[in-house]
Amino acid sequence: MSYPVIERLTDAGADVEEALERRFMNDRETYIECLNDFVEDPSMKNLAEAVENKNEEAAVRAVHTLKGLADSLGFLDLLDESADMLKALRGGRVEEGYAALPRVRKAFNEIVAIIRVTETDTEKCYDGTEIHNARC
Amino acid sequence: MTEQKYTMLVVDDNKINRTMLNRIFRDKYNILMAENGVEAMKQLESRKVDVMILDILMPEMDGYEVIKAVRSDERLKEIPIVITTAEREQSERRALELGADDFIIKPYDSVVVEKRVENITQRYILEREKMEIMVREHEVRTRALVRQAEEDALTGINNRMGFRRHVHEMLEQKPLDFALLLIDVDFFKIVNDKYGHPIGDELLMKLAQNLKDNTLSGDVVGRIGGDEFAVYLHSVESRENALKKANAFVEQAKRIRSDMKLTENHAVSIGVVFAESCECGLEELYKTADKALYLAKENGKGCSFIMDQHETDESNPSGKCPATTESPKKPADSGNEVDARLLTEIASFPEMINSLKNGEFIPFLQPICEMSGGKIVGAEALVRRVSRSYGVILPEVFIREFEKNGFIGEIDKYMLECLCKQIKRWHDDKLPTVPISLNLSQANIFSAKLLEYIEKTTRDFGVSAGEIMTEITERVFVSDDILLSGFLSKLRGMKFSVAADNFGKSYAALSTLGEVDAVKLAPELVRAAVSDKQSLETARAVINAANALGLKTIAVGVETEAEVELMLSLGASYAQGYFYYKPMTVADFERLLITQ
Repeated sequence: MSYPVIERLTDAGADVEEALERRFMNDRETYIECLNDFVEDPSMKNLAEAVENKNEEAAVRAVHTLKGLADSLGFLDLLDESADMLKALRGGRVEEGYAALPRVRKAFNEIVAIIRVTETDTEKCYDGTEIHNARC
Repeated sequence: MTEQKYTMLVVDDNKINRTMLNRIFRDKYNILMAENGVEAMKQLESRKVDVMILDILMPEMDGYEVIKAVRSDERLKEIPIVITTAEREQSERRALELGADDFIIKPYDSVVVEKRVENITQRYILEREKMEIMVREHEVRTRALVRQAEEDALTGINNRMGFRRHVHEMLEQKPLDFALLLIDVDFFKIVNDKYGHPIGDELLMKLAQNLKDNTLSGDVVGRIGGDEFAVYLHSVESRENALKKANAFVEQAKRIRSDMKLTENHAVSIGVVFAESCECGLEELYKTADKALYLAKENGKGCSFIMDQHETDESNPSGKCPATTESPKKPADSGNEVDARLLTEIASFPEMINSLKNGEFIPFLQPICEMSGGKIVGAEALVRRVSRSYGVILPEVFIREFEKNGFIGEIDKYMLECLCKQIKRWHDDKLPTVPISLNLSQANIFSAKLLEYIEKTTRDFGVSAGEIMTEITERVFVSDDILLSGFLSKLRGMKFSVAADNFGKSYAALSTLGEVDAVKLAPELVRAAVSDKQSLETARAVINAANALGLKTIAVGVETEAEVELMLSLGASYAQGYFYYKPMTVADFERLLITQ
């Protein structure tokens, strides 16, 4: 059985094969179930709110979760961006960390777009921006 | 892993993490999920969990708090906990210090996670199972030991210890009405001797099985002695039901013996104590049931006798002679011995005063018969003591002590009052009467007040001197005390007849016979005369002398036909002994007289 979303994610640079093998016992259905959960996960929204409110602790918690999910699902870009942001926040470079939000958001939205592209052409991005033709 | 599916609780606030762990473990575990610590604790309260995978950073109640809560709960503290963390260096040490068993690092490597958790679970479960097996084995061993200690090996029912424990347990429930039955297998020794021990054992087994089959849940059945059973009836509802149940056991026992072709026409004797709203202990019940059993046996065996638990407590609060004519007698086993300490205790004055008040001393009557024809012409009153504290105590045990400490005088007076009261009742009821013999003890006859007491008591109850015969043992005559002659003279002057009792044992001079109205030959002499020439000649001399003086001659302790024939041939007119009648309750004696 082919899973277009897996192919598209792989094409977009995600290391899905590694994630499937190491984390999901090569169970693609469970992986896809987790992709859907990823779309619904509130961490990105929480991170955006925390940065807006200058809530450093909440920002750390949210980006930490986001980083964990990216690592589990093989989203290498999102993993890198969120790791950098977390490192800056934890290293006391708060403004630098906050400034990383757009990059994190971009990586996140790209993943979400790929996941959702087969379901609809136009949707709202998770952080509220419009998705059109699977690009935010 | 064994084939059995264990239960895993996954606690993580992130759904993807929960889904991933579920995927890794779902084939081998029943998976429970919780989003935070609070939910996790709820799950632990309601479900049995074998292993827990716990995230540290969670809202509401974090992983550290969960570890603390679990480890401080006696029911949960053994559950293995594996923590998950993405920041090993920060959370791992603290979690392990709090009592986590291991940790796994996010993101999960499914193989590593599976192996680590499985190792922990295996270790924990193996330990737990080993412990459970040990506990189970210990319980089995303990139960076996208890059973062994409390079970009668032959019949499989409770032994005395088991019976006591189970009855104590039932009595703690404070039943409203209950009964205790003591069951004695009639002539069991004869069964063993005649048919052999295997048949005796078979009889016991069948009787035990019958008791088991005919009792209800809550009742307790036990074999409390070689040929003695006990049954506790937990809810018997009424005295009549208790007796009915006992009578049914008697009939069932008869059938069992008949089916086994045991020819003796007997079954079991049952003493029943019925207790209603009584917070009495087992010891009290035993004693009362034992008295009732004794009466059942005295009534001819193969029957039941019932008493109320309060009967013994309240039957005679005044300390006067018991009005009842039903009373226990000496046990069949007259060879019982009481140790010296107990003897001192039971014969102490305060104890005696109490026992008198409690009506524990009871007169029994043994008929005196004409040797030719067996007509009852009198009876000897014999004292029996049935103690609430010590059970049936034989006169042989306490009389000697009472003679030493002087209490015998009180017993003499008590017995006189009892007899006078009884004779008065016979008068009132217009029943036939015969003279009743009363033993006067050596210590007592030198008391001037005794004569006054005899005179006053007989007068008070309207008893004539001819209805009472006094008996003085030969031993007193041997002492040849000058006071004795004076006493006898006064007593006979009051028209009371006097018998020299137990004569021929201590070799008092035959001249003694001039001071009495009757002579009672000692049982030892009667028994020995059949085979021993010297005893024969002694008996002959005594009887001849007595007949020559116009005295009544009474052969005491006559048990065999040979003894009867010999005593008749020697010229004795009267006899007293088991050949004719054994000692009996006043009620039985009364019935006997009426029949006659």
